[in-house]
Amino acid sequence: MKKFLFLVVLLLSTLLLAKPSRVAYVINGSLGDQSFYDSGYAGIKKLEEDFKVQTRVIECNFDPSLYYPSLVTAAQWADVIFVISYGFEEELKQVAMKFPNKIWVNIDTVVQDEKGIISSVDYREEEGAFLAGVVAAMVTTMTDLAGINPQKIIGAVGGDDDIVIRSFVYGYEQGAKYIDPEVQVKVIYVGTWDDPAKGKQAALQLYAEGADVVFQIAALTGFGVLQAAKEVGKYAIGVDSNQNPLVPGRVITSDLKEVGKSIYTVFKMILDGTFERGKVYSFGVKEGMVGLAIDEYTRKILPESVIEKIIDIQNKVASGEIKVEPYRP
Amino acid sequence: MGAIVVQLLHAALSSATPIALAALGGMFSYHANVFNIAMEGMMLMGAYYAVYGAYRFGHWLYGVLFALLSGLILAGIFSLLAIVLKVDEFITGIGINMLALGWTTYSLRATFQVKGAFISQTIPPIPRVRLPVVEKIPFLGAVLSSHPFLVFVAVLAAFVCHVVLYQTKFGLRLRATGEEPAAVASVGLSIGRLKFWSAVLCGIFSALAGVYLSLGYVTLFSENMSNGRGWISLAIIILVRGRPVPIMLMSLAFGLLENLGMLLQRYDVPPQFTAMLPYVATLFVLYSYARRLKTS
Repeated sequence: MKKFLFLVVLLLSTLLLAKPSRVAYVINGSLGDQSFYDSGYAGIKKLEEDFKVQTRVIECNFDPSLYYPSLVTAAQWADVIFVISYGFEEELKQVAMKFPNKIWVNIDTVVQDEKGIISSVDYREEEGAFLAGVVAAMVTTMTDLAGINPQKIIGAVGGDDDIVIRSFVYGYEQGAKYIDPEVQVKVIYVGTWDDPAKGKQAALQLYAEGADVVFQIAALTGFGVLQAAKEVGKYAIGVDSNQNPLVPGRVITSDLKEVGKSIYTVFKMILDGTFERGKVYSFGVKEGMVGLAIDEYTRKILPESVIEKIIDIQNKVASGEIKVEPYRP
Repeated sequence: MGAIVVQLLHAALSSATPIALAALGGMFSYHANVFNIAMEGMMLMGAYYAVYGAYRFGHWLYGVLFALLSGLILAGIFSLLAIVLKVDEFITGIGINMLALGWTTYSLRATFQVKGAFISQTIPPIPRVRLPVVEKIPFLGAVLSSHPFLVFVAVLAAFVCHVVLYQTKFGLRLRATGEEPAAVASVGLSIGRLKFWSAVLCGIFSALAGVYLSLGYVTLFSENMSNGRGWISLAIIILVRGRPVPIMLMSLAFGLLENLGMLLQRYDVPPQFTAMLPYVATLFVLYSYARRLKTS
């Protein structure tokens, strides 16, 4: 009997799952960061175009009182729910428990419930940060480049002291040491995600301490970092989306996290039936979900030989020849 | 090491300027006994319209003009509600702060079709001043040079405000409005009008603080970029009881501590603590000040 019931449930759920036509995108913050959330939104838009599904975005604007109702609203309406759930992992588990037939995909962190309802997309951000560290260390040792001092110091500005940012920094340090073990990495955690003025201040301090390249890992605060590079004639590295054109000639490259692409990939897996509930999908350089943005702005700063070397290292990370250690708190 | 200290002091001036400007504006309301907390909103609105004007018309002067207009409009709304219609000043202030956040966020999306932040190479920043003689002095030159001109405006304004407040008829009347409104009314002056002028001055100074943020400090607008600086300025006004020169000094101390906090991260102080530093120090100053006042 039990087996039979199980089969019925399985059959029903596969039938229900057969054609997801409504996709919701629930985020803890709001669209407009021109990187992380927006990248996901671009993926959602693409689903709309390519698969003719209906989509809806629910923004929580960092208001914790909206987390629970947003999830419920999403679950009542959609078949597939993509969630960026920093800070409301518990709410996600509770609501998923109430709507176990829906497909729940949590992005950027790992959320696991006992029944295996929620799947997660986890980025190996340390790999992208590793490559950023490689570029920064190469540039700080290229003393013939304008604005580069002989000291081997690079910097990073983090939005806050949390696990994701720590793993960025950890990867960045590994990348720098891979190029030259003598390179020193200095980090400032600003403690706010939407204050570009403070971000600039932090970057200026790092430049004064001798850093030639500063990696911004701070959302809107980080825009100030890019402008600081321009002011002192040094270099910066962008994050999450391609920020190279924002301050041309000063942003060497950007460490990309392709949230949109991964939403698209996961949705395709749901359609062709290879998707598994409760699984943690680990996406990194190999899957093309993390990597560097190298474009004409990069080519204006770095010679072709250096770019080739960077791409070579990126390929080695993808093939697994170079192992990047994940951050363990 | 020298470069780091120069940068620290240079940065302290930069961080202090928007706070000092907003506090100098709010100070006038303080003396007129108007509890005005709208500096945050006025600053944010000023920051947005500075970028709007400068980008739209291609010159920073338009940015300043638009920012001042936005400050005047908000001051007008404040006066209408809080002074003419006698709505609670605190509630009016909260309303203005929320309006500014919502309005600038909406306008950013509606006008520039971006969310979050508007950044462009074609926004003209306000000019930076190089001091001809001071520049040559080894240490001081590096600290004081190449700031946006509003930094020096803020420092000068502190002294000018001191003179206006304590040496002019207007200043005397303004303070009298706060301390003894009946006396002001008895000589035939309008209390409402004096309070109105205090709100206007607050609007102008706070808008300038906004201009400094979005066209001086950085050259972009991002949602909620004032990020609590208006509230800090309010705390400073109350802390120093509205005296202009101490406002400038407290703002500088605050700026210095904020940047010192970041520097301390180099010595393994957890970032959560370094971010607290300016606030803890302010509380400590407040405590020791109040204690001294009580014992004397």
